[in-house]
Amino acid sequence: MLDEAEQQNVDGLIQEGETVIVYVGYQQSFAITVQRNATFQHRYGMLRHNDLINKPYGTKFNCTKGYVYVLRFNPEMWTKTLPHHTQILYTKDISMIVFQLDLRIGSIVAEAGVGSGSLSHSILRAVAPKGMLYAYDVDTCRLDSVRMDFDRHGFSNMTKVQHSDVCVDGFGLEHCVDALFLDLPTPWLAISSAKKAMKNGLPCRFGSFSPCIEQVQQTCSALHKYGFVDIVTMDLCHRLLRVEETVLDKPVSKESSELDERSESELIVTTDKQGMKVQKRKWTYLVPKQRQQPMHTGYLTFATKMK
Amino acid sequence: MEIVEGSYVIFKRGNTSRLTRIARGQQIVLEKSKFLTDNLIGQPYNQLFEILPNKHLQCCTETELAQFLKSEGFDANGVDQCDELTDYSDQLSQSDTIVAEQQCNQTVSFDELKSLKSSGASGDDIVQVLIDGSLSYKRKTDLAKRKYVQRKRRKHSAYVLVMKPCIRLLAEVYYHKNPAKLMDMRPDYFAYLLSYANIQHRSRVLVVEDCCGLVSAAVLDRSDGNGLCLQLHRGDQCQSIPCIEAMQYPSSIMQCYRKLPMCVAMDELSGNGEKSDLENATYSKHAETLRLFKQGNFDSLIIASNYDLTSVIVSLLLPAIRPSGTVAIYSDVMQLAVEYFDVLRTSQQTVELELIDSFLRYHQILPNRTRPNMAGYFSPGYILTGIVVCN
Repeated sequence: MLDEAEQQNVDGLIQEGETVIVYVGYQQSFAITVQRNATFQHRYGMLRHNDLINKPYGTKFNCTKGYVYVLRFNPEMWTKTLPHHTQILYTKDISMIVFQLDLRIGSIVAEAGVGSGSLSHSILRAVAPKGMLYAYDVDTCRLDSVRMDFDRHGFSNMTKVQHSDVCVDGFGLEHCVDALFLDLPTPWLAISSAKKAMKNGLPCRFGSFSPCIEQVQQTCSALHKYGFVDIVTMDLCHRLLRVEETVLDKPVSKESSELDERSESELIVTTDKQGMKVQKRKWTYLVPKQRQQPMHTGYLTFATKMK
Repeated sequence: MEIVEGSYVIFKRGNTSRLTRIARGQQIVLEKSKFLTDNLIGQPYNQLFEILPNKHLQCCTETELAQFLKSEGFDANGVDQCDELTDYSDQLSQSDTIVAEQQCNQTVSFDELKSLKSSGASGDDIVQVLIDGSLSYKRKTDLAKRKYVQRKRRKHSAYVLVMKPCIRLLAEVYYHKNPAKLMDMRPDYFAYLLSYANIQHRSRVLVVEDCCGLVSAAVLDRSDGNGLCLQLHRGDQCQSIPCIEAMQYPSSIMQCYRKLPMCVAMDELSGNGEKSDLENATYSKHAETLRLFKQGNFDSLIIASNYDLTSVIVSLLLPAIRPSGTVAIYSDVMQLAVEYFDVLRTSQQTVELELIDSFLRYHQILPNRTRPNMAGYFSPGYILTGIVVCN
């Protein structure tokens, strides 16, 4: 009991060296690493790192022109705040990938290419603390950056970051991963090595992300050739919505004083400048948050190796 | 791990799946094939079985599995194709004209087919006989031939996949069988809800659901016996747990699962004075769970319920979530989603509120026949997500 309460207490406070999310406003968040004596500038003023240490997460910090919240790091907020070295996957695709790959605590996963590490953090959350992530990329600078991110976020002992072109050199693994995910320009060239990397005698899951349908065709053909089953391809599209309110006029007859009974609670009765009766009704409804939103990111292909 | 009597398995044949609890003497009907499940007892999961003429199942050999995979048996497209529609109508128009003139293109009679089946011919042999007996087959285009063979093979194939239930398969099986039981929560909505709930090792999650226990089962699966899943439910008995039963979690995981009637949680907070003996008995039964609820400090709140909680979410549920915890709400009623949004926004206890809906489409990927599936599922669902803060 004491241990549990103590653990909760420690886990709830901001500590030096941790990565936290500074929430400045909607879709204006920043990931910072807490360091003693450092400061963070934002549009409402300055945030001193010393003020954060040993405060609970979720606290409001007042600044000269407003306030900010400091939130606990999680992969969804990291996806929104991380520095982009590549195009990244967003939560709508990431959530489907983690779900379709059947990831759980202890799963061993291989991912190529790692890119900016957006998907990697969601994978690590799902498999921690007993799982493992083998991360591959062809770009050394990207790998170094991602390795530093893993170190900062406490995942260094669960990740193995490797510089390799898996389409040419393969994964260098044999019979040890539960799931494997590819975000590559030519994923069909890596499927032979992917199959070799998967555990023997157990069903293992495969996933691939490709923007173009021709890539998907070649990938599915290769999956079929190497004996994968349950090959499924899908694409996802999310709409971000917002709640709107409006007031609409209703027609009024001069003779009748009858009100629309159904909407009496939302009805507004006023008079205009000429003294005529006016009826209005309030409506609440959903509209897209922006008229233009992403309609395509890529196709997701999933398959199972049975034995 | 082996299948025993009482185990749950998922059968998959063609594009149809079924969740079943194994019992002796049980007969299953799946895509017009009947088979008995007795022979499964003692077998491992995740294998391909052949349905023998006596309706028992026999485990396939490696060569049979390899041969099966070479056929197009598993070009699963997620949703059945509409066989009535004709692809490539321009190419086929001349052939169709000729074909239409024949009243009957199949020389194999129904009786002959029936006797073939009862004599124990394999599915592949039956398909071959039908192809040989078809007058129109040779005149079909290559693509039409493939489609013909695929349809016959699907009908006469004697194979069934036997799989161990997991959250992904349960979500898909329940959704395709009766979406209303999951509140029309399509797998992509479900995946998004779980992602935003930020479930991990040692997560403490507060759940309110009407989805056959699928959400609670997924929470237990992802936290793996090291956290807490406390489900608030309507009435005295929790109705919503078949998926948890299907997952057959060991006791090390089930120890993290608690159920608490909503009325108990609410009454305790309001501090009503007098209680009847029956009420006292109810409270005694739930005392430990109530203590856990009052202790609060949950990492996330998941709501996937048609229970209208807009009046209590701020006063009862949000205080139980620790600051910087997450809220993820699924609703298949638009007005309810709007009201949750309004209530949470007004409370000033949440930030990064987002309301989304989702569109999911499956694709058929075959050489020269790549296209979106012609039929799919539209879901009326909405997901609202946010992060709890101190105010």
